[in-house]
Amino acid sequence: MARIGLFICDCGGTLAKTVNFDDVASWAEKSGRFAFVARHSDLCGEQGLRELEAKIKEEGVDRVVVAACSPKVKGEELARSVEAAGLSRYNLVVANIREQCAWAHPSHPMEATEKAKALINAAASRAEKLDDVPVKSVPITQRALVIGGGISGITAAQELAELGFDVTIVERQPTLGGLCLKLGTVFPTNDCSLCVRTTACPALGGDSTRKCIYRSAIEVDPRIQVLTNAEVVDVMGEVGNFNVVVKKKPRYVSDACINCGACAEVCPVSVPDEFNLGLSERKAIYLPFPQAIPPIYVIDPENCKFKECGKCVEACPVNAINLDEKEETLTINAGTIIVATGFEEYDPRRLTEYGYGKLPDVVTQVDLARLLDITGPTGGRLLRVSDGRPVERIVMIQCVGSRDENHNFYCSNICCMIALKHAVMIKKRFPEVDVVIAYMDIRPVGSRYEEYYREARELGVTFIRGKPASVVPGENGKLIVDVENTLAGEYNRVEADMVALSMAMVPSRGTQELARILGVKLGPDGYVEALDRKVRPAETNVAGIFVAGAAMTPMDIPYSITHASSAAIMAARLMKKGSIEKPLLTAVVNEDTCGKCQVCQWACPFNAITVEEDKSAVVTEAKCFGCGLCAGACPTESIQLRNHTDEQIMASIEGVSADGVKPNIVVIACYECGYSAIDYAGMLGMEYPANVKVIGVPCTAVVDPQEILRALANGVDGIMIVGCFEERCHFSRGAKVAGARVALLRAMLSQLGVNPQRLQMVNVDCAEADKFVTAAKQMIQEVQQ
Amino acid sequence: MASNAYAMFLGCVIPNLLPHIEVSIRKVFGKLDVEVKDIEGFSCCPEPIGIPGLDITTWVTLAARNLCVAEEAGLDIVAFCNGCFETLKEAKILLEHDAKLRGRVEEALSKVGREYKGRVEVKHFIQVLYEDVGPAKLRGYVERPLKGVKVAAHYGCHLLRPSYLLQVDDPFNPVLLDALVEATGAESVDYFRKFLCCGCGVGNLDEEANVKMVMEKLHYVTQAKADCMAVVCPVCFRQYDVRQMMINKTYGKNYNVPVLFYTQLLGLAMGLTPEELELKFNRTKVDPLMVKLNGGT
Repeated sequence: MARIGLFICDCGGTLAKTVNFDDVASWAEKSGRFAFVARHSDLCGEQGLRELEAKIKEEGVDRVVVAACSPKVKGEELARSVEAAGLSRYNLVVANIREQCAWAHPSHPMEATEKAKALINAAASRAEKLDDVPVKSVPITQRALVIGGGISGITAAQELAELGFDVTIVERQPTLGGLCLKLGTVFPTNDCSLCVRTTACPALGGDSTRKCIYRSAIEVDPRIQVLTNAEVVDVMGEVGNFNVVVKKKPRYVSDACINCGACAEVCPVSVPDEFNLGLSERKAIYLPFPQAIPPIYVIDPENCKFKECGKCVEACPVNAINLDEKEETLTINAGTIIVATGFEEYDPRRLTEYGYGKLPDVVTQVDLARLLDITGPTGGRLLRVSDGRPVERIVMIQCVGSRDENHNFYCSNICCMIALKHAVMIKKRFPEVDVVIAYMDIRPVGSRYEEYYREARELGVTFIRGKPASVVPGENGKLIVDVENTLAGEYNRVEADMVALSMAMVPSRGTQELARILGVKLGPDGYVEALDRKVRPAETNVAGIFVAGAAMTPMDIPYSITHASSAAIMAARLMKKGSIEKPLLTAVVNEDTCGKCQVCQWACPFNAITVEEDKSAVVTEAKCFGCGLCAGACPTESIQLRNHTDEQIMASIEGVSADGVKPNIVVIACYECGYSAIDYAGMLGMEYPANVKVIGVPCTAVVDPQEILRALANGVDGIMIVGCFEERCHFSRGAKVAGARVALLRAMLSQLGVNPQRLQMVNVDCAEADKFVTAAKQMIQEVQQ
Repeated sequence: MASNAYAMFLGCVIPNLLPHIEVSIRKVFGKLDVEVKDIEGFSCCPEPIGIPGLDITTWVTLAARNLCVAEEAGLDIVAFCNGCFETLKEAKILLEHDAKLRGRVEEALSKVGREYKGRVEVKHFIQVLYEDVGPAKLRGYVERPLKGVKVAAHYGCHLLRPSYLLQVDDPFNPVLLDALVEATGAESVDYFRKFLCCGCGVGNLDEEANVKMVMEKLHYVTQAKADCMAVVCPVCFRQYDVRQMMINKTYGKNYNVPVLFYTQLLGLAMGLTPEELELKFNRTKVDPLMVKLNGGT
């Protein structure tokens, strides 16, 4: 039997204007529920807290009820004192007799006093039923696995290595570098795209602001394991202890390769080089491009003749080639995972009106970047792809597949800048070339980006505001671009030698499958969804899995690097703890009654529950956020949230109802926006009747329909569920689930002949005190009808 | 209603202006396992551009009247014109989803002793050919495969759009007509501006723009080296067939693209002669096509 100590604080005596503390204290003593009743005027002050600690130790109680201000105000200080007294902080219950009592009912002192007793009563009932909260220690592997070896993946890996962690990069292509490899020179610094930050592993010379990737020695950094030609195929385990299964496709060339090129010289097979738009050729054994990292040749298995030929094996001076190499599967253990899979251009063939694929002179901006690159197929000269004649006019079309209801709804962020960069580059290098940009809006965002637009105008780039209808062949091999010039109010038919499409950017191929493997939530555009789009942009809904760079949303290089650093810090912060000490305020399964129906698995927004066939639900505690969506959804009430079980919530409801005041309105508010809005009403002195009593829960979705119906059948006249707005629920979709539940129950109540207004749901922002007060007053009227 | 018989809705243009197309329709369908019946009482659909632009209720009421006529005959409708197809099908859908409109329409119809029950399906004739018969079976009817003939298929607009209502085929990448063309043994060629409108609607306001659109289409069809065009709408037919000669004269062009209504093309493949199909009434001479068919170039 629990021994409960009660502390009552009158907040410097000010609350005594409304609540009769003598009456309350006397009631508490007579109730026999408390081992002692201690009164105070300044419990939260330094001295008060010390006295609290001392009294707990002296009396040897094992549960503490503090009747004072809102737990959101001084809850943490009180909890620490309780801990200092040798108890768990989870053995403390705070009865809110200030914001939600004395301050809310100043004109009704008698009612406020009775309500204070009811709140303390409920707190005692809850305290009696509290479980011990075990703390689980989960050791964290000190390795991060970065999926994707582009600029974001490389940055995150370097940062984590600097911070002392081991890192594995898994990259699908045979080289590191990602999309940046093809971009030539990039904004905002108009220099090479193959840059990375300097590592502290200097291969040549000391520090600098940046280094070319091929001089960065990243592939021989002892802390970073680089796996290229490799893909993640499965992930098991949980935060701190992921087991990632990686499939490595055979390269056929080992890292003994000295990059001499003897193999390629003798290789008899030549194929169009996809890296250069198929305009140049490479061999079946090739180095993807001169600065490739790792600097190891690779064999293209589609075109190599293997043992039928074997010339490269003979030619290789260091015996690096093994044509028998097989696919390898490895399992890597990691504490955290960073998704850095980036983005790619939307397939231009899907916009048949622009003729990409049919008309060779219609290219994308990435294609154009290759054409303009000195190491590209034309040596950087701007020549027509079809016949090699010099380009006299190039038309760029913006927003191709972006901001388009038929393709991608969003703006892809970087295409305006890429077009402007290329336009300025072309005008500076080839002033005689006419550059036309057909646009809807021009969006160079941020400090020192507008200058690109200004410069383009000054260099004579023509801007036509209109979205071209089509690109069709004209006379003499030219292209015709039809566009409505909306500013001039006329129809332009522009003849061009080349058309460059600024394609929409979409998540890299394979993102959906990877998200499915990881359990990571994707947003409506297919990009990885941040845990909170405002304040947690590098985290995902899965504990221990972070997102870096354009995998989350289209972004340019500086932002990718910033975002990747952020992801690295999130991962480091987690791994640095060495182990996760997690208080298990988590879901608990009663295996005897579990029906294995899987409802809880699907209800959980964080992928923390697994229900295998014919087995009871299993909660992965490390991933559990303690929201209770599962508990509210379970049809047999078999999964419960520790310390917010049905029994405990019912005890609180019965506790506040014990004063017999009618009508008895019980408010169940989520501890996020709901409880805060109600506190705020008290802070603003907004009065409402005292027969409204509040119980707090982590999320409104924890309340299951059985509890609601039981309460309504047993003396509760009205239940008001107060939660966050659906789109802003702090646990993804709890408010939405609760809303649907309430709507269904109201329909049921109507059918049963019960006044449906006895159950209501109110969604508030944490500052919408007025909304709560109005709803509370209204409910009192409505339940009495 | 489901049966293998349909009420034949020819519309206005075919019976009044293009009787030779009507001939090809009757002869071709006469050979297929699909029955199309003449029904008394059909009126103008009415056309789907100007009339709804003036008053939707009038448009839907007149269309609903036609639907009632088919309903009373116990048959679904097959339309031989894109415009009729859009009008009748869209009217049906609007009546299903807009109760107020339906109320107004039913009131008007009751004044002429008709009651709309909403059970008539509306199809375009190429849907009937594709779904009820199918390219494989059609090939079975072909006695004289049009091998080596390059056909530039023109779907027209009102067959496919608004796509979310009409739901005939993918509006950006349709395959129906191409499949039916290839069933005759011909090759359906890709060409630029395949989905350019024939311009008939534009012509009511801006004749010059209209002519430019027709010329653009003929230009690219010629560029693709097509032996003929295949259309499925009499209005598109008139745009390309009737006007071609006029355009050549007025604008000094030299277009020479025979234009065939699909049933004329299918008829040739099924072994009917140009005489049986009355092809001499096509304004743009089909001689070059016949030469190609007979083995010449």
